[in-house]
This record gives sequence, structure tokens and C-alpha cells, in this order.
Amino acid sequence: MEDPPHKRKRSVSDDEGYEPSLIGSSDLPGRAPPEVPSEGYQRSESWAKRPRRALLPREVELAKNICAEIGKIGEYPQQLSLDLENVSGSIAQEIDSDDYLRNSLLEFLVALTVEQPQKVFIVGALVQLTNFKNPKAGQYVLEYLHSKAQNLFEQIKVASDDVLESSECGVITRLKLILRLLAVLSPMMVSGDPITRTYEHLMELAVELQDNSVQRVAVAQLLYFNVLVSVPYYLAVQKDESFSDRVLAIARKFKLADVSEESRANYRHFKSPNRPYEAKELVKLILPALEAVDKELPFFVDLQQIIKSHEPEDVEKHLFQQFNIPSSEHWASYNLRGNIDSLWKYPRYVLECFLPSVTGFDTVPPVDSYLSIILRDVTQDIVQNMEFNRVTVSRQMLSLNVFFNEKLFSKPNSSIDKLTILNNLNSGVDLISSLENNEELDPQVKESMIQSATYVQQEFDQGYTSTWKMEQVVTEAVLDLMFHLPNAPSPSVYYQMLLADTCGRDWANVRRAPESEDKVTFAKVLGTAIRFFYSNFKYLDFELRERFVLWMTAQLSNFGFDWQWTEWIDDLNTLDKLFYHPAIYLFRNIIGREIRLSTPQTIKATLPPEFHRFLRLSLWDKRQVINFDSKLFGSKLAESAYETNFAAEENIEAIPEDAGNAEIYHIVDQYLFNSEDHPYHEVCHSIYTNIQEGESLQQFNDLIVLLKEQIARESAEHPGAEEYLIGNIDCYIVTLVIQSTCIIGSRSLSVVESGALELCGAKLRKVLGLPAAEGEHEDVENDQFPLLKAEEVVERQKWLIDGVLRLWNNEPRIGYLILERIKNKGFISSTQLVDSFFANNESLTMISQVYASELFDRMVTSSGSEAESKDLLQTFYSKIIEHIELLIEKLGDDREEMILGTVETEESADQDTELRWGLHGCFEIMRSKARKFASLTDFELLGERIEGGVRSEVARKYVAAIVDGIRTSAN
Amino acid sequence: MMSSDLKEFDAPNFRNSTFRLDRPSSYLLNKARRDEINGYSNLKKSMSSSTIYIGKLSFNTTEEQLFELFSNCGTIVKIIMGLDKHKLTPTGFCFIIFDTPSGALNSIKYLNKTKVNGRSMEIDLDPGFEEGRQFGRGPDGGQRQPQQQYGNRYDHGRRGELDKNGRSGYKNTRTRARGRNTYRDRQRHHTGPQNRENYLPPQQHESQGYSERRPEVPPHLVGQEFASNVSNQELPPHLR
Repeated sequence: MEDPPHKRKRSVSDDEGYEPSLIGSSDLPGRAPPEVPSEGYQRSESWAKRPRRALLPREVELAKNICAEIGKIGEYPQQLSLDLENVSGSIAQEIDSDDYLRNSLLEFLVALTVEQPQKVFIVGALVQLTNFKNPKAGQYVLEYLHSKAQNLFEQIKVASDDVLESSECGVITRLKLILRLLAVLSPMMVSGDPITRTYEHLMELAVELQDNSVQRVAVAQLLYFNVLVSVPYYLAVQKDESFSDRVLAIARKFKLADVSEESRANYRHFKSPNRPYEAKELVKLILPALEAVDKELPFFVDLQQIIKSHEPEDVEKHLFQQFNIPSSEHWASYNLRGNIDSLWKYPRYVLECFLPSVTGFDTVPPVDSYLSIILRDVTQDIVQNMEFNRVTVSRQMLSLNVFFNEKLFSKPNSSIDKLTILNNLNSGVDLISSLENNEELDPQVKESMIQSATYVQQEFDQGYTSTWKMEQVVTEAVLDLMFHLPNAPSPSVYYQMLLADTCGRDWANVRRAPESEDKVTFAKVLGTAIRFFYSNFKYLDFELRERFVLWMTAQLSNFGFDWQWTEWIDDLNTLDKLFYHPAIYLFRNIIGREIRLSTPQTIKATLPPEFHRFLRLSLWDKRQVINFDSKLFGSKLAESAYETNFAAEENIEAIPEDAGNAEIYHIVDQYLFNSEDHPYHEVCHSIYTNIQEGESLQQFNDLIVLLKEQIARESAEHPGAEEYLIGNIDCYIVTLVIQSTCIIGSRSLSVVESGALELCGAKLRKVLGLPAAEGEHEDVENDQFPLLKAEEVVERQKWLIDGVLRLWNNEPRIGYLILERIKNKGFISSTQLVDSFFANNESLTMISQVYASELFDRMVTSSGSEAESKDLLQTFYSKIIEHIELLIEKLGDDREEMILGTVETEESADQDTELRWGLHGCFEIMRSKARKFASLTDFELLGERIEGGVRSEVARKYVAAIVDGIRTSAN
Repeated sequence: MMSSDLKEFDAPNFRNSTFRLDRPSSYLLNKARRDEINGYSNLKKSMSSSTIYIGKLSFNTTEEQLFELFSNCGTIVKIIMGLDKHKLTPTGFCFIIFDTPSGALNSIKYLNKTKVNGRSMEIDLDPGFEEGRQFGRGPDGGQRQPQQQYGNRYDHGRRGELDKNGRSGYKNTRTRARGRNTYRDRQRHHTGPQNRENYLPPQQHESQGYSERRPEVPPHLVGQEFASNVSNQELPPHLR
């Protein structure tokens, strides 16, 4: 029926930028498209009329509608047969009618195969049903897939590096998925041989490629894995055991080349001999898994019956050409890139985070089973190949169970309690009668327990006997990507938000089904995963610790920062004295980042009092702050100001809701130049005003003269009174100018950047002893600021950095963000910032604060030149080596068990443990950065530095081995 | 009214099995459709400008918070907070400029509709920032249109070019009606220097930010702004 003209048609905007809910299926084939209203009608409408999407030609509308229908097939299993019947009918009828329509449909089928590979059997069934009705359609599909696959083979021969965008599916993965569809379609072919021969050929290639090298060949491993993982798809449609025997026979010849133990350690999620599980390499799991697979393939949805029921007597089969497969030389020189493919560049380990040790029984299929491997494979293909729409990805993840044999899994949102009952039922416990016979229970409790047990028993009798949770399977697959080493394939924020979205979507689903007994939401699954990572945090790779912090805070920030911190209080109490311990690192960084994403008031309300000390973000402790201030203002003012400020800072509840950062962190109170107890505050204020009002350099110079005179006079008049005495006038002036600049720009980063630093630039350069910038030259009479030698400038730049960090000590991350901008404007260098990360021997910022590590990465990746990045890295390495040396010296014991021994199991929280954790942090951050920036690291120079810098032999060998492992696998 | 041809932006996409989030929103599409001359080229620009627009932020969202959230999407060149054009306070929107288009596309793919300060952000691609767009264009100076009388079909004249989100566009052609805000202008003048939320970069001859140690003005002397949201009963007797 045509819409009346006044009724507003659904427009794109109704979809809110998400899933296009396409115009209803009532417009499907056979109906005339709505008439396009005449222009005259459109013109006569008032201006306020929302312009509509231009009405599309019939074939376009039709193609859209059919594709939308195809995309939905399978979501409702009960009407699967009907859907397949209807949609295949439309395709069979229309595919011949128009080129545009045909091409669109074929393109869409391939897109669906690549982006939603869980639906491959459905696409297969659809094409076969269509083929029954219109054999030409089947021919089109096979020809199109053939050309697509052949085209991909051709791309292997192309050496160019930038054919693919990094977010696009890699060539070999795409090939895997298209061949998989072809395998499923093989019953349509005169013979399945072209498919089986292709697989065998690819497997032989893999064997050959690996045989030609002693080292691990990434392409070979990927081919080997992709062929094996797809074999069951062919077996599901063709009961051809001989094929699987042949492929497996070739596969057994494949040499599973190992890299050195040192290299392997770089790609494992958990380090140390006490790690929670033995790391397993994916490539080594697939062959045994396939050998052990149940030949009935019970995990796939069996559509053969539906297909058979529609099969006419005489089916036309199609010829399928062999592929022209590139030779092994081409494969050998192919450089892996694109989604999924690039995961194979380095040894690929499987992440496990739902271990049976927690529950006592399996909640996910065993990691070495084919089912586990294929689910991970399919989920990761969905997640990566559809990264452009995280909404669809999360929707598909939540409904993944309907595309496999549902009864292999517990029902969605099943609780662990229910799974425990199921586990008992599986082992033959008659729960209901044992409950009924239990005399000790309160009758009411007993009643409700029996009720829920009966409910579980019913499900059990229906065949839902499994304790596996699909939610955990998909979560594990996503986390495996997020925590992939050395780099996650997409920015980690994608996985964070994907999981957060899935929680939200799942929560909405649960609320929508109030009658259901199963209410354990996806968020609980994430909670389990978070707890697993927490309890194994000390074994987790250093870089992954950072990614974990980002994930957990992103997750909490989307759900009101709600977390049960109380369960970690005991740990906090035992480890309280340690600074470098991973658990303390976690508390500090999670709470710190929560505050950065919201406000201290909000976060304080979510924390038990034991954790309140982490609300203080300061880098400098009381002693350091007072020391710094005493040098400028005398110890009396320094101490009294500290006490006053401290009290005010503790009173987080008093911060008004709309306060800006300057107010929240009491920035003005830290600016003691203005304190009335400081004898020079008046002239300091004049200098501040001079800077703020942008008055002339001459006036500024004159005020400095005035200041110096006043200091000289007053300190002579008050001998012995420390508040009048300024030890280092140059330092005093640099601090005054930079802190004034920061105060002027304290409203926000952009005010510092484009306001304050512009306004104060000339004066800053003056006090630093730097030459004037172009166009700001101004002759000054009685100039107080001669140009200085490089080393003098460096000293002043250090004062500048300290001045900023002191002022922003309550929120040093903002301090560093300001310093980053100061660096961008050329007042300081990036190496000086790296130095400052190591300035504090007792608490190295570099290994204890995620924001420092992030800033370091930003500086390396966005520096002006490669040489600068390399320099920066070398500064970092030499600093780390210096501190390894220092820590060992302090430890006073360089026996192997002290330096490399498993500090993870250390119970005591004494000074030695602290130093050993510091040492551990230095080793691990070295690994993390060398791995991340392997291409920018001069390994030879680094080797020399280690040789010359680390005296302890044990430590030297260990560090050299870490670096060596990275160097060999980076080549 | 003619609508302009948006070419590939209107063409259905069969290369993917589902909608792509890294495309201009329906808001931008509708806007472009109305704009015969620049509509299409603005859409093209929005795909490559490396700039995003973020709306529906809470007023206390800071640049630093946004930096923490968005720096994982790409290298941020600049964050421009949207300001109330009269009061120069944050008004719930901002622009972020990245160093490459992928930063902007990642943001819209991964962070659109996620929460900051408990509120879902609306992120959209943007054809590129121009000076002046940081100021809200609502008649009261904010970004959002004041209480809108929806459903009043005869009220078209006042609805102007603002959409349901109260967003104004990238064509800076609309001039504000003069004389409407004289009262507010006066008020702003009166309370201006005390406004703590002022985001404008420091300018000459205007005291900002760090305040001198002058005595606090007692509340009853502050003027109109005082106690507008406090009911009479809560005030001490001498101020009622």
C-alpha cells in the first residue's frame, strides 16, 4: 500500500545513525514502487518541510530490501525454513531481471560471508535453495565467488604494501572465508574436487614454505591454520572422509617451527613460572583438535534437512573451474597485513580467562577443542571485519548461539549457581530429592530452592545440559584481541566500548524479558574476567597491565563507576607499604584514571575509606613539596602553606559541582609567590600582572631589576631570616614566570596552549636564556637576561619543569599535559620530559603511572623526525639501565634469586620486596617499549649500553636476553 | 524546495553487510540535502577534515577529560570547547581536530553514544572548524534552543535553522536578532568578571583567572544573579 502523501516516510534519521531499519518487507518483489511525487508538490510545501531522501529506482529499492531480508535470516530459528524459502524465491525471481540488482546481491552475499561468518551455512542454504528454483542464480554465485577468490590469489603476487587499509580484512582471511562458503556450496558443483584440491594445494604450500626455512614462517602458519580450521565445513556438507584424511596427512608433515624461548616470552600474556595456565600457541592446537573432533560435527546447525526437503528430483549441477594458485615464491614474499592476517606476524598465543579452577567445572569449551577454536575464529572475524559498526557486532555476539548448536551451551544469561546445579545433574546427583530430604533447611528457603532446582531440571530434560556460557566464549575472544601482543589490531578503545555496549544491550534484553529466570547479565561475565585479571595481575605482561587499566576504567565509567572495591581491601592492607607492587599499581592507576574521566567527588563516593588515599594523585610527597617550597620561600612559609593546603585538599566534598580543574586541585593555593607571608609578594604580583596584561618586555625587565634590588636590600636588612633570603634568584625567577603562566592558563589546556604560552612566550624565552623568536625581537635597556650557554639553559629548563609539576602536583597528569604543550612550543625538549619521569628515585613515574607511559609513546610516535624518536628511545633505555643499576645497588644483593627470583609469590612487604618489584618494573617496561618500538630501536647501541651499564652479571644477561628476543623476532 | 544530490552518500551500500558508523549522520545528510550549492562537498569534506563535533556534553565536561577519552582514537591536534557566546562558559559541545582523518573516523565508530560524566555523547563528523563556530548560536547564547514549543505548527518563524538537538550548522550565515537580549547583556556585564567558568584565553586589559586578594563581595551586594535559584524562605531574614 502506498503511503498517503502527508504521512512522513521513514527516513534515514529515524535510525539515529545506527542499523538502518529498512522499509518494511511489504515492499518486497511484485509490488510497484511508490510514485515519485511531482516537483510541483514538493515546491508548494512550506520551507519547514523536512527534505526527504530521494526515492530510489525500483531495482535499488528491491536490492536493498532483499539484502536486508538476507541479513536477518537465522535470527529467529523457528522461522528459518520459511525465511529461506521466501527470500530464495525473491532472489530466484529477480536475479535475472537487472544487472544492478544482481551485482548488488552478489556483493552483499560476499560481504555477509566475510563480515558475519557465523552465517555461512545459512548463506549456503539460501544459495542452494535459490539454485533449485533458478539454476542460473546458482551459476552466478559460483562464478562471482570464483572471480573474487581468484582475484585474492592474484593479490598475493602484488608486492605493494599499501593496498589495504589497516582496518580491512586481510587477503588470506578473506580467502579463508570465501573458500569456506564455496566448500558449503560444493554440493551444487558437478564435483567437489576443485575445492578439496584447492585446500590440499594450500596445505602443501604451507608445508613447503615452512620447510624452506628454519625460522617460523608466518604465512605458512596462517595457511596451515586456515585450511585446517575450514575442513569441517566441507565435511558438514559432503560426507567425504577421504578428503579429511588426505588433508590431515599433509598437515602432519607441517613443521611447527618454534622461535627461541626469549622471543616467545614477549608474546605471552602471562609471564613467570607461576602463571595461571600454560600458554598455548594457537597454531599447535588445531591439528590435534581436528583429529579429535566428533565426526558428527554436532556443533554446527544442520541445514541439510531443510535443503533436502526443497531439493527437486533433477538438480542442475555446475562446473567449477580450478583456481590458478600462486607459486610458493609469491607466498614466501607476501607480507602479512590487514585484519586478522596481521595477528599471525608473531607467535600467536591463546588468552584464557575463564579457567575451571574458579568454578570447579568448565564454563567454556576446552581451549584445545575444535569448538573452542572455531568459535574464537568466527567471533574474531566478526569483531574485526565489522569494526565499522560496533552495534551490529555486539548484537551478533549476543546471538551467536543461535548460529551454532544451541544445546551445546547453557541458555543465555545463566547464573553460575544454575551452572553448578547443571554440573551436579550431569554427574548424576538427584538434587530435588536430596533437597527434599534435607531436614536442616528452613522450609521457606527449601521451597524456593526446590522451585529453582525443578526449573533447572526441566531445562536439563529439554537437553540444555551444558555448563558452557557463550557470553564467556565471546568475551574471551574479544579480550584475546584487546590483549594481543605486540599490538591490538584496532585501537583498544574499540574493544572497550564494544564490551561496554554489549553490557548495555544485554541489560536491555534482560529487562525486556521479565518472566525469564535467567538474569545474570553480561556485566557479570565481565566482572568475572576483571577479577581473573586482578588475581593474576602480577604475572600479566607490563603493557597489558596498561591496557587492562584502560579497559577497566572505560567499563566502569560507562556504568556509574560502580565496583566492589571492598573485596580487595585485604590485599590493600597487606601491600600497603609497597609502591611498585602490581596490585598497588592497579589501584593507583584505576582510581587515578577514574578521576580523570570524571571528578574526585564522584569517585570518592564509590570508594571504601581504605582506598581514599589513592584519591591523592600527587607525584611529590610532603617532604618533597616542602623542600621545593623552602628553597624559594623559606621553610616557615613552606610548612604552614602545606598544612593549610593539605586540609583544604582533603575536603573533597567541598568542591562545588561545576568547579574547573584549577579549582578542584587548588592551583592558586600552590602559587606561594602571592602569599601575604612572602615578603616579596607585592613585586611578584606586579610581575604577574605584567605577564597577564601582556605589558612590554622593558617593563618586565624593570620589574625584575626591582625584584632583585628588593631581595638584596631586604635580605641585608634581615640577616639570618630565611624568608628574606633567596638562595637562587635565577631559579626563583624562572619558577615565578612559569607558574604565573600556568596560573594564567589554568582554565584549560587550550587556554595554556593558545593563550598563556603565546602571551608569555617572549618572557619565558628571556628567563630561560633562549634567543628571541622571529618577530618578537625587542631591545631592552639594562637587559637582565643574557643569552645563556646550552648547559645553563638546560638547568633552567629543569627548573621550569619542576615549577609546573610543583604547581600541578595535585593532578600531575595535567601538569604533564601542559608540559607536553610547552615542549611542542620548543621551550623544553622531549628528552627532558623523559628525564623527569625518572627524577624521583623512590617512585619512578615511568613505571608507576600509565599517563607517563602514554605520554612517552605519544612523544616517540609524533616526534618531528625518526632521528628524534630514536634519540628519545635511547634516552629512555639508558635511564632504565641506570635505574636497574641503582636498584640493584640499593638491594645490595645481586644473587640470581633476588634479581630474577619469583617476587610474585613473596609474602612480605618489606623494603627488599619493594626494590625487587621496582626492578621487575624496569625489566618489563624495557621489554614493553623495545617490543612496541622495535623498528625505531638501535639494538646494537642498546646492546652496548647494557654491556657497559649493568654491572650485575645476572641482570645483564637477563636484560640482554629480553632485548635479543625482540631483536630476532622483529627481523 | 529542491534537494541536492548527495551521490555516494545517498546510494545504498552493498559492500558491507551492515550500516557503517563512520559516515556523516542523518543530521549532516539532511543539512547537506537542503544546501544545493555546498551540500555534497561539505559531506566530502567531513570525511577527510579530521574533525569531529561532539554534542550533548554536560556543562562541566573539561578538555582534559575529553583528551583522556579521545587520545586513544588518534593524535589530537586541538580541542575547541563550545562556549556560550554571551557568558563564554562551556555550553555542552566541542570540536576535536585530529592529525589524520582516521582519528575522527575512529572516534565516531568507537565512542559515539558512550558516556562521559554520566551522559551519552553525540559525535558527528564535521566539515572542518572555522573561527566563530565555537560560540553557541541559540538566542540566549547557549547551544541549545530554549524551551521549544513543539507541536505548534504556526511557530515556524522562530524555529530557525536549529534542529532538535539545538545544533547550529557550519554555515555561519544567520545573524542574531538584535535587541532581544538587552537585559541579558546588561546582566552579563554586571557579573562578567566574577564568572569562574570563563574559558576565553586571557586578553589584555581584563583581569581574569587568578584573583587578587580582594575581599569577597557579600552575597546581598552581588546583584541580580544572586539567589535566583534560592527560594525566599531559605534566606536569612535581613535578605528576604
